[in-house]
Amino acid sequence: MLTIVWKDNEKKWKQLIENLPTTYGVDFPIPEEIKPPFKAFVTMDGSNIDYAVYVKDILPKTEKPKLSRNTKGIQHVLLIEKVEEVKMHVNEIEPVGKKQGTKVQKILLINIEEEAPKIPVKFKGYDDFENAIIEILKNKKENLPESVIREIASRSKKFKLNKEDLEKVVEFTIQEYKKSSVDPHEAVGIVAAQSIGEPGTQLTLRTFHYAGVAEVNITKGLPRLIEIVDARTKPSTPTMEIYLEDDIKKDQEKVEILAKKLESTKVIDVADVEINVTEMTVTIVMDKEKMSKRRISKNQILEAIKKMKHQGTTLTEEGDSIIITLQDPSYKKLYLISEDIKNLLVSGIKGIERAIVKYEESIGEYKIYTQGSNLKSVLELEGVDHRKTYTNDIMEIYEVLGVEAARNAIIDESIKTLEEQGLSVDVRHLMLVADMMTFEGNVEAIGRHGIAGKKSSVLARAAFEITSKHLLQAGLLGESDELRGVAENIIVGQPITLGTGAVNLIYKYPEKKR
Amino acid sequence: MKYTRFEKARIIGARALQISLGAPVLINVPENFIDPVDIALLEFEKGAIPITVLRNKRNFN
Repeated sequence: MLTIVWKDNEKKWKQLIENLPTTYGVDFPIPEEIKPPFKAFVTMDGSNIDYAVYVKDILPKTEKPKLSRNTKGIQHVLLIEKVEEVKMHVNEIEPVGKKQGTKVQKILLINIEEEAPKIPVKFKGYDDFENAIIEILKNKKENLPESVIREIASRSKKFKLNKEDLEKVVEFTIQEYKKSSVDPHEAVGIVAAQSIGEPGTQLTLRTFHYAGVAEVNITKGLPRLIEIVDARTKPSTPTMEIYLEDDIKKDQEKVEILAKKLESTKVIDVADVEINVTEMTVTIVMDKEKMSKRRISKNQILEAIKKMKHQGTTLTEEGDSIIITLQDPSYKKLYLISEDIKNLLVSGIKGIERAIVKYEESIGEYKIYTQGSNLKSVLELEGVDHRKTYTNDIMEIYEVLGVEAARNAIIDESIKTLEEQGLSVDVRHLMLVADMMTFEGNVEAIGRHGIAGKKSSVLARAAFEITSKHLLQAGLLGESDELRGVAENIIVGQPITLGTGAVNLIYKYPEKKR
Repeated sequence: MKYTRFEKARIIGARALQISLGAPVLINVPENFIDPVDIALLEFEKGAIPITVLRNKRNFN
């Protein structure tokens, strides 16, 4: 958040505090980005922030303030509601803007972390079944995760279980839960690596495969798995599955229109762009047939060309063509302009190359499949069901919906890839991979550029890849190694901190015999 | 305290080594029990081994 800090003298400030709420004239400009109401800060000595000021409104300077910072040159009148004493050092504040003018040198644009607005947490209360389960767990002095409790409740509701049966179910669940939990110091990473690696050898190497949907191809098999684990910024075949709102999802025509709206159309798709060398102009010859197919009007093309940033160009219309003349033409300029025009987006959403409407029999509604993906723009469209719409671009999910969503996407995508090839890998292995990739708050690749390269131990990094580089750097920087991990201890020849190697024995005083 | 399977293995292993080196056995063992590992297992089941584990060692550093 942006805010301002200004210096004030103590006398005047005391006067102001006594008269709150009041209007206060200030002689410095307030940047436009700052909109009332906002929280500003005041310093008395120029290095410590002493007060936080709650400004309710900025009044025009014609208004006569009750008090003012300076008698002359009033630029804004602030309506101050509340003043709070705070203790903060200016060093903690990072200036982001230039100092504003000479008179107001002490005013900085600063970036502060506003306390997050308190959004009431929506807690889904427990129903009778859930309460009953919690009661049983309490009596047994056991604990189950929230999601498991809710799951048992929703299923037992279906079968209308009585109390005794429910107790049995809970008992079995606890047993199963304990059985499936892993002992501390178990080498889960190695197990996960092998559990994914072995079936991975059976994955196809074929990159392209025609999926059920007409003409949309998707990367599958091993290449896709590598793509997921590498956390690439763009998958080689991004696709989206767009679900639609209730009012249009059963209407084929409306869905087709929406799909056409999605498809990005470049000028080159509906017109020919030619360079006329003799007259030094660029001519755009529109193709009526292609235009009507893609539902694009002449005006749309004109509009798009007008928005281009080239200077000194004039447009003239001539029947079905648009002629662009330059003020001082050169071959290079003509070429650049014609290339720019060819790739100019006339309509649609950037990144989406094709959109195909398909009737989904299992759910009885129309769905749009796309080649290319742009989650943010698609979610903003009207008629799109933003709850179900899906993209296979994990980084895009991360940017639009956050890490947790990205983690789930990694799990879903990798399990989907494996299942398509008829391989069943336990989810927990993939969950571990997804957790490792996302636990730092952003999506990181596995391997040299991601997790493996970020290990704190020098020896562990050296053991992985580019040994000499890491050792040399560690020597130059005087790094030390705590020998906590596995790879380090293997290099040194010590027992590793896994399984029995991680157990530390101590003497136990024998209990006195009674 | 419930031991994990690694802890159990480690305790029995350590105790079996002690017994094999001649440590006095702390429980009454049937005549034909000769293998130190078997003896250590029996001791473990009876809770007679004076060894336990230190958990969360990192918190002690």
